[in-house]
Amino acid sequence: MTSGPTSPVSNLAVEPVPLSLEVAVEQLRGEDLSQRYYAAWYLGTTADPRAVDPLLVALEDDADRTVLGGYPLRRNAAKALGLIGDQRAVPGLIQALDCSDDHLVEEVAYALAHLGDPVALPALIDLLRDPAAPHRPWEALIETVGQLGGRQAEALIRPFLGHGSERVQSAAAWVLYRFTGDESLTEVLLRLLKSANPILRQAALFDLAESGWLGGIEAVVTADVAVNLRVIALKRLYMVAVSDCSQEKSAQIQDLAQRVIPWMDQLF
Amino acid sequence: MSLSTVLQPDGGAGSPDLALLVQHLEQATDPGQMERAVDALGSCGQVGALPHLIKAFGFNRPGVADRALLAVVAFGEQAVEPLLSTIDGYDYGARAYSVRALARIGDPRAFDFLVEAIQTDFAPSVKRAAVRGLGRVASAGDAHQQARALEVLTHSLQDPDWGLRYAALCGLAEFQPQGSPPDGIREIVARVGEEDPDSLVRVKALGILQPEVS
Repeated sequence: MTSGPTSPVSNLAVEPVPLSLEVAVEQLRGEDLSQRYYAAWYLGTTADPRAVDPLLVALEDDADRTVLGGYPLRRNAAKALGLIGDQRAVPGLIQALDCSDDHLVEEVAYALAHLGDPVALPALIDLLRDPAAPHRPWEALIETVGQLGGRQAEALIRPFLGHGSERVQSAAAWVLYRFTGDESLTEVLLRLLKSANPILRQAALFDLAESGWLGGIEAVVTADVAVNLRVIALKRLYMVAVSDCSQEKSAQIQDLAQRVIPWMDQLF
Repeated sequence: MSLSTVLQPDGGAGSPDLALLVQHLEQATDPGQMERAVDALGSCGQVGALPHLIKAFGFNRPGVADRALLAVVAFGEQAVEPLLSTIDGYDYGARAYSVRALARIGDPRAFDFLVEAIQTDFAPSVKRAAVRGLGRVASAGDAHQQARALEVLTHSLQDPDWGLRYAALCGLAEFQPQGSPPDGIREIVARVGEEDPDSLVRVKALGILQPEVS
């Protein structure tokens, strides 16, 4: 158990010193690059909407660059804006998609998925138009278009089913299943769930959950992945499937619950 | 001798050699071999297989651990002491499987251990498994255990972890000391069905109240 505030012993190695919003914002605007980087991360953990404006400034920072031209501070700022969840961040994030730093674009895409505003779709879909482009964060882009319900991108996403990366194939499969309900797409997910690579199995498990495909329940429950992750994935699958139903307590939801609950009980 | 030879019905030639089955499990290199070895150990019916099956909870292969869990549970009451005496204090994943086994077997000797796990274990998966099993275990226990189980289960319905609340509903549904649920449980579950912040926990509660449809 963690020691209380009155304890004479405190473990600074595992418990970060809490900063006030003012101090964190001051550090974010300061000169020290490592302090700025930390402050951006820290502000994301506070979920305080007052951090949005200073983080949007950091999202355009030019001082913090890697040798390969990446923007570490911008990446942390994008992630923090997603965590805070304030819609005012959407226009700045959309602008940040236009950047050569793929790690930044990936963070921005996931932040936009988190914010859930479909106004980001045209800019995201534009980035899918050149599937031959090297080194794009395809998985994040495709998944965000899926989360935001960008059905107009179906034809652009379909070629990614044949992409060289299995994770990209898997992302394309769940998104296209959500758009079309075509069950043949789920074969990709079931195949990856049997992969010898545990990281791929885990990715496929959560992609299957995002598909909301009820036929995948048994595969989720019996996957060779840690039980607690199967629990989270089955719950997510249920939530996705429910999101297509109109009203709570409707007969449709009762039916869904009856299909999921016996399997969930088995995992517990 | 290959594993498939071991698995042949022996036509009265005697029980399969436990040491050989254990050796197959220890020497298995891929998950398919491990699963077959676990199944073979489980179906040999010898209590001596239990420590080896329990060890398989800690192989960090969920598919193998799932098979070992089924095999251990099939031993019923015979597995309770071996489980309680070999709880893994370090690997919480393995510990959660041991608790799941105790929960499914439902023997009251596991009662104190489950309550202790609910109150002191840091791992959510262990706590969930223990809460889930408490109703069944206490149903076969004494009056003191039954009162304590009801207290712990209703308290768990207030936990911030939705999974622990879900597990507590499973535990309450199986808490039937006199072959039926004690007075007041329906009201407690009905309140969860109305008020719980999590929609899956709410539908689970409603399903318990309408057993004829769930």
